Amino acid sequence: MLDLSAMAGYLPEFVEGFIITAQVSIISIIGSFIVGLMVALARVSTNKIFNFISLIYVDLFRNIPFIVLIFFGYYGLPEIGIYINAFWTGCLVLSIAVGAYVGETIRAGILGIDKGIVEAARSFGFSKLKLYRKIILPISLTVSVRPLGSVFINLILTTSILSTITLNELTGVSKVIASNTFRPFEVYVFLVLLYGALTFVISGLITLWHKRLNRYLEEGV
Amino acid sequence: MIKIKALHKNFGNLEVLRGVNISINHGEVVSILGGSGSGKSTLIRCINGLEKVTSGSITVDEYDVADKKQLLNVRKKCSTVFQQFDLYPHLSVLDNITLAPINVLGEKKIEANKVGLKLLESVGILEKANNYPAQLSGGEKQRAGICRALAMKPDYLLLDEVTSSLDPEMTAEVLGILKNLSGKGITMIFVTHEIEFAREISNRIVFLDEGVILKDLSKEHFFSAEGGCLEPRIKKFLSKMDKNNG
Ligand SMILES: Nc1ncnc2c1ncn2[C@@H]1O[C@H](COP(=O)(O)OP(=O)(O)OP(=O)(O)O)[C@@H](O)[C@H]1O
Ligand SMILES: [Mg+2]
Repeated sequence: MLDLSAMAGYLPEFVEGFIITAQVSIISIIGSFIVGLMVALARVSTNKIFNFISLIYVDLFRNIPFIVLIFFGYYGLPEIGIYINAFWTGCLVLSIAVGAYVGETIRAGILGIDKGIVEAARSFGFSKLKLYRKIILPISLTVSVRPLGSVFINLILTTSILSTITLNELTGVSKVIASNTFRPFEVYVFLVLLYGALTFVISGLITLWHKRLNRYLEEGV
Repeated sequence: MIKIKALHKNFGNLEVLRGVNISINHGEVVSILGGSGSGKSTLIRCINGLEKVTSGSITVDEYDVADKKQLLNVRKKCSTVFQQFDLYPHLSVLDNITLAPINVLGEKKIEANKVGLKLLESVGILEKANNYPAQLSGGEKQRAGICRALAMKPDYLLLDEVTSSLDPEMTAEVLGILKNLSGKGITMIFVTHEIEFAREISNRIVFLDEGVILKDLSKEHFFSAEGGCLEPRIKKFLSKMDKNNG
């Protein structure tokens, strides 16, 4: 029988794990967004070198299993003298790897913009920076915000793999609690609920963002 | 003054402009006529630097369009109104108008807003200032497009078939506004299929045919019996247009 009361004593551990998962998620969402933005801009740039590097970047990080990257970061890098703790290794590798997906998502949005609008803007003499900041990125984000949401939800779910490098995030603490209590069923039900809560909040935020960005399509403001 | 010398423009093997020479003085209102594919849009797009010229030169006052550093000055002097409006969809009508004055000319937001509202009032859509482009009719969009161009206080206004996407009633609206403008000393170069309108407001007609200027005459001369009509190509064009418009 499902008996969640048995979990009550472990609530503090769950909360701690939850907080770590939430922290890693938020930092990595911001990090991967910044990385992805740079990747996307390099991908659509007229500079051949930027094009090439960003293309390699995207192909590389979309084609290596995440767990290999995270092992490389946590167990591999110390061999060449680079030590980063599990938390920051997680954030770093997530930002770098998910950045490749974010980059492709943002790029798709940029390519979808009506060419006429960009030309009109260019004809008014905007600098490249202003053109992207004021026109291209805001318009492209209105389209790419939904797919970006899926990428970010995926990022949150992927944080569970960080339990393999000793990080006591949600999945990590749950494993420990499950083996201490011999109640894996309750533990993992609880785990599902907590991940659900986190992704629910993020989906909600994405929906709000989408609404805000797309308010110009609504009738009669 | 806009000076175009021996302008050639190719797209791959296709020669679209084949040696265009033309000078346009301050205050002139020039209509560019010509059949579909004759290179009218390409000519306009070369002037504001949206197309790179293949050979020849274009200068706007003292600035060379082909020079990357001078192009910005050219663009500050020339504003374009587009056939498909091409307003920024994510910005309100007022922000559409003030974006370039603020970010390109460095105007203060308060000042730019004042000018923008005045312009909107002058074209009769002041009440749409805070609407988004998607909420406007075609005619209103183009009126906003004209305001966006005028907000840059351009010396030259380039207009490429700005009424072609509009129904007759909206066309009349927009043409009325352009007619008002034509008396105010701003240099206008517009590509149009509205022959009657060209006859009404321009003082000079340029007829483009397969990438070369076939005739470049004052309006009176162009429409007179010994003007453009002597050219069979133009005669045909005019009679066809008359039929379309009638
Ligand atoms: N980017 C481009 N690449 C290749 N060919 C082009 C390009 N832009 C225009 N052309 C070609 O150049 C020719 C002239 O086009 P342009 O748009 O200047 O004609 P137009 O006189 O404006 O015609 P319309 O009255 O139909 O607007 C056409 O044959 C067109 O197909
Ligand atoms: Mg055209």
